[in-house]
Amino acid sequence: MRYAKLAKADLPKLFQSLKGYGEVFAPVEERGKLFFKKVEDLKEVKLAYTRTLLPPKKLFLQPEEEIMSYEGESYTEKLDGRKAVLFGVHACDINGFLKLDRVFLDAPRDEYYARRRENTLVVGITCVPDKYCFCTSVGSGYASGGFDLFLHDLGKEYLVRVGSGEGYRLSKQDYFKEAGEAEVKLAAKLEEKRAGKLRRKINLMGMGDLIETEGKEGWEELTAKCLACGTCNLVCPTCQCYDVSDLLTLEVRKGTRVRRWDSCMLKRHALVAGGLNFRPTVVERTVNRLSCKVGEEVRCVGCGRCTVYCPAGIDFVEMLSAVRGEAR
Amino acid sequence: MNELLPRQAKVLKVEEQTPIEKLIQLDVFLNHKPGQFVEVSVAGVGEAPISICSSPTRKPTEVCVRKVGRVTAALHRLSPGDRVGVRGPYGNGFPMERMKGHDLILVSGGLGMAPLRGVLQYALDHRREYRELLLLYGIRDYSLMLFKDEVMKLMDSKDCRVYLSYEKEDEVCKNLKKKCPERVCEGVVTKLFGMVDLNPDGYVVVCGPPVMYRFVFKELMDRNFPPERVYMTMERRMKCGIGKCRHCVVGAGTSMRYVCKDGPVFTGVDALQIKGLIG
Repeated sequence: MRYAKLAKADLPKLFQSLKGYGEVFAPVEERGKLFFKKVEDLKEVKLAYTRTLLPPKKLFLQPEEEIMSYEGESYTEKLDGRKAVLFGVHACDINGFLKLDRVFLDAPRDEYYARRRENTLVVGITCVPDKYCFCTSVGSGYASGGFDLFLHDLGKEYLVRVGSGEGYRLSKQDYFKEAGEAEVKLAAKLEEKRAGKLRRKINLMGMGDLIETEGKEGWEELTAKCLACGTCNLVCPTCQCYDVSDLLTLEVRKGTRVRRWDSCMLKRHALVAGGLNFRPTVVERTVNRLSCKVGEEVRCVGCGRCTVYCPAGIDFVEMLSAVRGEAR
Repeated sequence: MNELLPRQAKVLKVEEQTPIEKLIQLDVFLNHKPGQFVEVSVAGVGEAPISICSSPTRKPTEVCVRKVGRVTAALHRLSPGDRVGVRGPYGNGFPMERMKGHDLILVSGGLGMAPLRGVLQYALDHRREYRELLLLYGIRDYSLMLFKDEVMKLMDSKDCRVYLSYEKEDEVCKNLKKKCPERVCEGVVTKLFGMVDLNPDGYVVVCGPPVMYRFVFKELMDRNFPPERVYMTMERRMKCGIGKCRHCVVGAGTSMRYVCKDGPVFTGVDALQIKGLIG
């Protein structure tokens, strides 16, 4: 990997360069919550933050998007070629991208996701963890790839890790300085210190089998509070489910095909025409969701969003420790 | 290439099979395997996964559609010359090559006949490469039998032994039972296992309504039939057909599969491993 150094005073210069590449989306604070939003000025950006409400995946897999239009019976794809920058992304969310990449970039690749991913620069930044974060115990506390630039806060300057060709071109500008062993050692030390602050741990040893064999009564107790509202899915950086609908215009011959995020916790997720539902109960849908996140493989990146934003106060980590048989 | 973009296919023929099922011929080359499916779009209505019911050895491509929802209702309104959108073929399909040289026992209930008809046509078109060919077909009554002409013709043929069970007796079924009591009976499809000798070296291919699999599989396991020689094709909600939208996912814990991508054909071993696969 290539390493560079950027003085904090020079961050506006980098921001300007990024603006030259495309629209910049960065964490912005509004009504006490954080959102990735289009920004024009670095002053709007909250550089030190914990987590946004929606994960930045919303730029690649949009909450709702028109994927094609039709006229008569002829379909025309609607692909987005715009260039954009995601500025200030945390390691957990970048690891979330890598997990979604495996779904949407593996053959046959999803053109909509793939184009946006290719046309978007990702600039990572050191995070500010809180008591709900547990990225270190799911291996997502550090981003080894999936970004163009990653800025590690060293106090007065940033160590910049360069993860792509585009990132390399940016790092060749004169306001970047060379960096090497000393800066990397310092960054690693600071990252370790940050990781040490994470008190939350999740033990996933054998979790898939524990989920599979947990009894019905246990699940009913654990999901008693669940409203099956799907908030946990909407805020998850690795949820991939989507639904597709055709929308007619008043001309009838013309219309669009739209896809939008779906949620496996909603009752109709596995409902087929004719009325048969393959996951009719909250218990079945919870087993499916947990199996997807931590059962067959670790898709959870430990961002804590599903716990923080659950309106019923269900704690993801506590639920899984209960499945393990630890104090409920 | 955008895998989600349908290509156009002209409707060649629409034929009523039963009061709720229509056979639709499409002018589209798929190069598919028996057991695979396509995503069919009706502009302005939507897209639905439909199994291909013809063998790649025959032309044209055919799908058999039961009217159960919005898209299938729109498909029932089609006339020759209309156009639909088609994506696919998707899914793994049945391993027709691996099953060569062995007995082939097709077990079908109701609309489950649709994907199995592709298997049947394929085996008939390569008749000498398979050993015994058996069809165990369970229907509600004669009015709901699919591919009536073809099944009736097969009942008199030496290429395939047809066993038929019906739940509601009518004139045709009554006469068939009188004519051929050793192959026709009243009851559900599992009753037919009492009439056949299962060669454990053969392959059993199953398709029917979701509730049927558990009973058929139990029947086979009770007879010590090897689970790895059972192939069952599954139905689930699907949107993308290519392992992205995750509606069709089955299983729990460490064993999870996409029905669209890893299936829709699963083995009896999968049924033992994947929680909820056959209910």
